[in-house]
Amino acid sequence: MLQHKEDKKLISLLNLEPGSRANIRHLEGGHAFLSRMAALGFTPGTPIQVIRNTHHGPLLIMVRGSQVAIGREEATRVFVNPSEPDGQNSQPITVQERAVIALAGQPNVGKSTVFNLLTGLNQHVGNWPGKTVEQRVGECNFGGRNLLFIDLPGTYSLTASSEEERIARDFILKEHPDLVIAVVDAAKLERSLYLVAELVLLPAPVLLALNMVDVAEQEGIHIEAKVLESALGIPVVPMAAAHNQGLDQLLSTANRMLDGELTTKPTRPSILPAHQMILTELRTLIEGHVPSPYPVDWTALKLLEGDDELINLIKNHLPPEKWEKVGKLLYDHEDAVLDIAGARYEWIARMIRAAVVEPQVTKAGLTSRLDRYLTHPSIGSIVLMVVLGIVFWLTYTIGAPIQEWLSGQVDVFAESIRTWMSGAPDWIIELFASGVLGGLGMVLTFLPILAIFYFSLGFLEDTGYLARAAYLTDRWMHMMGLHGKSFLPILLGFGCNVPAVLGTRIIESKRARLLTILLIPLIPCTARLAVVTILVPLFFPTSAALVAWGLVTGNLLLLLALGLILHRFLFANEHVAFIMELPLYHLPNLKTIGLYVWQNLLGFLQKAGTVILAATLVIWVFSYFPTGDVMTSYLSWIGQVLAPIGQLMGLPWTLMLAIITSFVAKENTIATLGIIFGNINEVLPALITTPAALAFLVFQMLFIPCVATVATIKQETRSIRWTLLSLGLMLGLSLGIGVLVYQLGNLIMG
Amino acid sequence: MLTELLRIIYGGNLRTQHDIAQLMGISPALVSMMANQLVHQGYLEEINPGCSCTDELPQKDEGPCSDCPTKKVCGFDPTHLWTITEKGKRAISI
Repeated sequence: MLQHKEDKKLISLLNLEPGSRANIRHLEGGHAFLSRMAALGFTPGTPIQVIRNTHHGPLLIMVRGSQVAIGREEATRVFVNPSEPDGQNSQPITVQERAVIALAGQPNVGKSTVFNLLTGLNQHVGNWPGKTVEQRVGECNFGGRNLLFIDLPGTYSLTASSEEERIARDFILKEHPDLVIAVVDAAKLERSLYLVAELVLLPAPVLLALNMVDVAEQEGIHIEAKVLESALGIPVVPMAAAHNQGLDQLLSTANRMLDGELTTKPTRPSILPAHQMILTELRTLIEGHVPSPYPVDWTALKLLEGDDELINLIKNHLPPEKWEKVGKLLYDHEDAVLDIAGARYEWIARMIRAAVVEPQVTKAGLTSRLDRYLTHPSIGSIVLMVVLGIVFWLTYTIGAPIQEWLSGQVDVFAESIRTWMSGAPDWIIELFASGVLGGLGMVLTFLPILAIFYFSLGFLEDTGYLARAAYLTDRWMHMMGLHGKSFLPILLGFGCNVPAVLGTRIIESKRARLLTILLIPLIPCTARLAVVTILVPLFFPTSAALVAWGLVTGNLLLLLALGLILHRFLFANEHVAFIMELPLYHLPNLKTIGLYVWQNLLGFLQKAGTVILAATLVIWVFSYFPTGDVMTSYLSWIGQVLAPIGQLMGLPWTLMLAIITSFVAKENTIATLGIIFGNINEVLPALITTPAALAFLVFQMLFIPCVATVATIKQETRSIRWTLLSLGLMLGLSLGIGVLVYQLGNLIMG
Repeated sequence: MLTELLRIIYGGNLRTQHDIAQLMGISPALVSMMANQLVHQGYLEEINPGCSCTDELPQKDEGPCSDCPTKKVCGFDPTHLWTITEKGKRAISI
């Protein structure tokens, strides 16, 4: 190795001038480097000729009959002897007329497919000099010309905000390719055109490869290539690279452009006259100081756009007094970027309007038409109410008979346990028969009802309708005065109150945040809805859907009324605007819905097997001991305390107690009722009057949230006072409205 | 066009990209592209209403929500939601 370095005729490949010939004598580097270079044909003894070495960018070397681009850093590690070629190298290396073509495009537009088809096996993969970004270079001969293709990294724009964008724009600016082929996806043309809007500003002719026209046609999108060509002012070649269609036309158009037969006059995005004046001023200030190869007009535009890389570059090349003026101009017109980038979108919209024929019926078109009604403040709200009613109706119509049957089976099973365990102590028999089966078993009989409920919700979510429901909810909140960032956590509350309370962190104002936390427990979470779904048909078998619908609607109205009060006093001057990206409507996928149902039921079963089971056992112990009769048990002692409150709503202490246990988890209400009454389907309907049943359901809907939510409220407010205030508010509302419903019901029903 | 979009966003409380597309006579896809550009430039911010309250939009099975005990019952759907920033308000001179 040392002897090579000491050879006075041995120099690195980097030092060879274009046109020079030499023999490779030695390569320096690790095994990986040597293997890679050998694969490219760089082995000791091989003759080479330098085609291009411009002091910037990769070197182009003719080796073993192919042109290969290698990085400058790599070239420093290849040592050659330029003076006396071996005899075998004395044959002249012939070079055809050659053109360098850069392939530009966004990721996923089929650029790699186009590159592979154009270059076949004549391609080499390396890295861009000094970068970790992959560089692919390949060539082909067409029409008597050697075409060298450089596959630029996939980029969405040329704003130099990423390594890939910097490489792409630097290559075009510094290496001066003879042609840039912009590959775009015809099916998503507007997304692809932003890059083209930037490419036409650079000093290189652009040819548009309109790829994936087959996919666009399949989607009903028809693009008038000739119209697009006229609108853009550059040649457009429709193609379907995946089917090897349009390649010849692309190459022949490229050749015609290289021959000068086809000239281009690109239509460029134009900016507002006000900013045009600033641009001219900026141009005048920087003229004569812009380093080569950056064009002055383009540099001025990029400065005004706030391009950090160019700002630093110009700052280093301008005299301080001029930079001061430039800096002030840029500072005063910081928002010019809105006009410059906005002009590009306007340009895109113009091109699309001119050349794209959208299908009559598309998913997007269908979504727009449906949303005209489904997100309409009044029509949409009525539809949402009807949809909610249908969900409850379906749940009860299909689920209730199955639940009733399962409940009977639990009774039969409990009797069987009593028979099988007849020799065991009474309390053990009752622990299993009344405690576990009566409580937990009763909860589990409601699985079919929950499955249907979750299926309906999953169906609505998967079609994209639930997002509209969220959107409409904001409309209502806006009408009632509550808007701003409060609505976001409130929406979350429909899933679970815990993340909703956590979600209030997005509200900057502490006061607004605390008051939003107060409102959240009023939102019926899925667990609360599930309990209501279970209880309503027990008391109102013939009008369950209507009653459940009324309960949910009543809850929401109460929420909106409180929101109105909060708005009056707290949010009067707050205005926060949002955009929501609503998904397109689509046919629901049964697998997705199945997964949604499964996840929710699994969550319910996990809860049933842990929290609910533990609470069930504790409640059973208190209901069994010391006498073995619930009416004289420890539980009844607690119940007696609740009895006077319950009387205000016509409720026996047993029902009050069932609701109190929902503090651990909402579903415990069912478990407690199961332990106390056994088969609740038979006992509950006869236990209380209709007004009392309504009061019971209202009380359940508005009762204090579960312990997890309360703990989160404490954690987020960091205040026992606010936590107690929240508990007090919910307790007061649930009791107050429960009593009101009972008393009004009694008045109406005599 | 970007200034117009900012004005439209600020003019309402909650709008969808479909509403805005209709108002501007362009496609919803172009509205989303422009909204992303405005986020990049600091005129709009993407809001994460989820449990994590981080700057990034969480996914239920990855990121900060992955350990959340309530993720299975959480109603949070990572729908894109943007709001106007102070810089955005200044740009339209509010």
